[in-house]
Amino acid sequence: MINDGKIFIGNNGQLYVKKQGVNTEVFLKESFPWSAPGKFLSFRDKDDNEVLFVRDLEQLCFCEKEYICKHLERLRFVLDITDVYSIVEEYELRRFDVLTSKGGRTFYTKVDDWPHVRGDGTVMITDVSGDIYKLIDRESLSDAARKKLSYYIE
Amino acid sequence: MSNVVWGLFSILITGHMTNKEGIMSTQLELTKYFKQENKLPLAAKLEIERKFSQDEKIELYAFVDLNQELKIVEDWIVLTNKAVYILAKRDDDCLGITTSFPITKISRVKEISSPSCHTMIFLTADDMPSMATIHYTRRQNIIMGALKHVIEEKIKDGNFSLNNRRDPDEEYQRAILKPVLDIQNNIHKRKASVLWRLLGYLKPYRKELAIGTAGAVLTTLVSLVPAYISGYLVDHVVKPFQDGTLVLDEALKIGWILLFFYGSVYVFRELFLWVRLKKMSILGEYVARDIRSELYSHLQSLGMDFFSSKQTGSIISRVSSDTDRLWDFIAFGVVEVGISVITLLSLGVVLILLDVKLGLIMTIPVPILLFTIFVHGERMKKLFLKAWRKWSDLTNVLSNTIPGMQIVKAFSQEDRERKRFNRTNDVVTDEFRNIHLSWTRFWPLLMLGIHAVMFTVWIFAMPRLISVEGSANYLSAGTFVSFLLYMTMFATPIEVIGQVARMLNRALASAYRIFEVLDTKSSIKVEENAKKVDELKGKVEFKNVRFSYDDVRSVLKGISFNVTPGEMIGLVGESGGGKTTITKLIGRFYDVSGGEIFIDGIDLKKLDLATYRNKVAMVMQDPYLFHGTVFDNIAYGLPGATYEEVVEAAKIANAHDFIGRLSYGYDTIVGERGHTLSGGERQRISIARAVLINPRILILDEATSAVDTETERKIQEALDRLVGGRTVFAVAHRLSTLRKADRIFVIENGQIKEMGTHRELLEKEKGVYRKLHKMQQEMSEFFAL
Repeated sequence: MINDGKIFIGNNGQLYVKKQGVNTEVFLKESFPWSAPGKFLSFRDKDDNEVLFVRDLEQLCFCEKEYICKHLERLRFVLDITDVYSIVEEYELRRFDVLTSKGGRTFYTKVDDWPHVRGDGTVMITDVSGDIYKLIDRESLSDAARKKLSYYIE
Repeated sequence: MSNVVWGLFSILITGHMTNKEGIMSTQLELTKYFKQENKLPLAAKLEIERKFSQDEKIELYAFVDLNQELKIVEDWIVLTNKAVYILAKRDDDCLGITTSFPITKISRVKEISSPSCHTMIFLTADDMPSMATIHYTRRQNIIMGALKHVIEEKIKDGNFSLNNRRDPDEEYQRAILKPVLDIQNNIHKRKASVLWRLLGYLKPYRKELAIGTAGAVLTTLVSLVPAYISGYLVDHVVKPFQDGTLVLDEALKIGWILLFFYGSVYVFRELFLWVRLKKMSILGEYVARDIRSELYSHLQSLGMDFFSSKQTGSIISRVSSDTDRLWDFIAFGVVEVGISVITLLSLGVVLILLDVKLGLIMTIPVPILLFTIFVHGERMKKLFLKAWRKWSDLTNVLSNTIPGMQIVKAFSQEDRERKRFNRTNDVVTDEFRNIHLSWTRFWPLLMLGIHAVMFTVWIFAMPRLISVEGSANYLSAGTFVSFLLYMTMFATPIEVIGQVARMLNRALASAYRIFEVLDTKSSIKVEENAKKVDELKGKVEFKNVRFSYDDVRSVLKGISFNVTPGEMIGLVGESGGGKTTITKLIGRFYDVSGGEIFIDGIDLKKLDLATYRNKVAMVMQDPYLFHGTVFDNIAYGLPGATYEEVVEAAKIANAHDFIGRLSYGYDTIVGERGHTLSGGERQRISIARAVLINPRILILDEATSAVDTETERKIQEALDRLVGGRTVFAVAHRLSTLRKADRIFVIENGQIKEMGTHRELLEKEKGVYRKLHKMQQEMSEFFAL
């Protein structure tokens, strides 16, 4: 528990913050989802106003941490690319046929939207629907997949 | 009510109305794009129907692509007029109902978003566990949003029903495909290939094209003659004379005639070449001009949504550099490829006719050489792709820093920016270095290949050249001279085909970009028999107006009001609440997503846009001035304005005094975006511009927010003079600027929260306006201290 408020799961299974005697149903947002995951957590009400701000997961008690970790798992969900079958240019679009850790997937990006390579080398690709595909370790790909991707990320 | 909701819903998920042809093509494309089921599988449908109560029918369904463990699955959620069904694959791989519950049991639907996983929770009561939780990727977001929206409407109004006005299959397909179709940008399907479409621009210049092509063909044919004459000269003049079978006088006579021919052929060749170059270069310019004009004129007709979705630099480059590339292609590419192919074919025929064996040695490797050019082209394409990507990084650095140069300097970050640019510049150079390494390696190798073929010809020719005349293998020196000269002509067309292939790729890429704009339909639909607005009283009526910029988030949520002519309306409220959007809709920069706007009792969509906008003026927070004189900028909306009218407008706008102080008065050039003037001066010029067109509806969007108090006073004075007798909509954060407003609308979260006079609103004890007013008063008292 942190000084400002208490985090708990309500009977309806939703995340709540109890602050100054008031229970508010909240949802969780990470302020730095990619660069500082698990830190600077913002708990917001249905109108997207911040109810509670937690600098570090470690500040929370065991129970709270457990709830939050469950939420974070869903919050951080992105599709991890494990293989690249093909990358084909179509009219104004680029089609990626890939295998992810969660299964096969075909997605499109705009032809002018290039994959973003973060400072730590992680490749992030955002498709036309806004879904994010992540490739952490390029070296883990097969030579053929690496070559296909190389023109877009190197 | 249900009609309105349905209208919103349609736009929410489709953005436009549909037709049967559209449905067909969508059905065909869904599997292609996402490898996702085209519609709810029949087995699932039958499974649900077995559970149906009387009169129950499917209204909407969506694909659920993540399970509770967040693994990719192919589950479904189906909404009927009575219940919600969730289906998942069982162990036997068949779809089965895992959960179902009546809509009446749902108290609310909660949606939680994250970067790639959305969660929808169906809650019954706050002290009871949720009825169901589903997860899905953003791809399903639009249809899930629609589903949530319909359920919420049903919770509010138990009788709400879609009544099957739209086919659930169609809704599902369109929602999934919408992001892709939006990017392909309302483009009418490519009826002809881009190349044919591009060549279509040559149509008006058929005569010039025919002359240019004839010039090119004749240049090619004439180019074949000198080699033949050379061989003829050797075999029929030089050799017979050396052998003593031809006397000197006769030999000289024939020789001079042949040389005269030889020289004349080159004169004619250059003449034909001149015709070809002249015609095709100018023709290319004409085509580029036509495309530029069409493009620019089309840009003028597009709605503001287009300009907010594209970067300015990208639009400018389509009008400038992309059309320039097309000139390149039209001027040189179109004919060159054809001519090169003809040259190769005719050379092949001539060589084989001259000598079958040597001819075959020379021509058989040609397809192989062309294939290597193709392979090299493919590799270059990928290298260029990388280079363009890096190049766009470089231009991003520039477009980020140049407009913000003052901030860079203010924070002393010049060195950091210099390093950032140099780093990107080095990366770009490396990529182009790779390109140059690739082509500089390839072309000498290609030439080596061509010369190897020539060398092979020599190997086979030499024994035959020195064999006895009359023997079976004998090859005359003249024939071989012709052969050699023809061989040297072989390299050029191969090289040209290689280069033109690159040129063609670049031109087609540019053509794509240009046609993308040309094929974009304006979001503002202009009716054919739109009513011209000769006179405008200024009555404005909003009837349940809804609007969304992105078809998902509603900015205006059913706004209704009536404004009488000459009334001044103040629009206040939080940022992003929808105030400016209201003004943009009045100016018809966007069309409403739902509801209607009436001007003088006529639907705004039925008014002629140009004549209507001539009666509406806008004064924005950050006024835009064009590069040109002060006079030109004031007279922009009324090009024929006289000096007297412009001066009068400037006086009303409190601008005349400061304009008089400028070195060249009204003839002073204000520079790009008016950078030579202060913010207040630019604002007063923009007010003068508005004054001059004598608008009946005036929109003031934070017109005094970015200036000092003294300038604000001057601007306010000008505005007070301007508003008299007109219908005015004034957006303001500073409530003091709205003291003359007849009514004030408080806009919050896309709705009118309060409406009334300043006094009426202050009387509302818990009113938003009263709170805002109090805060601003306290603030000014604080600063006064």
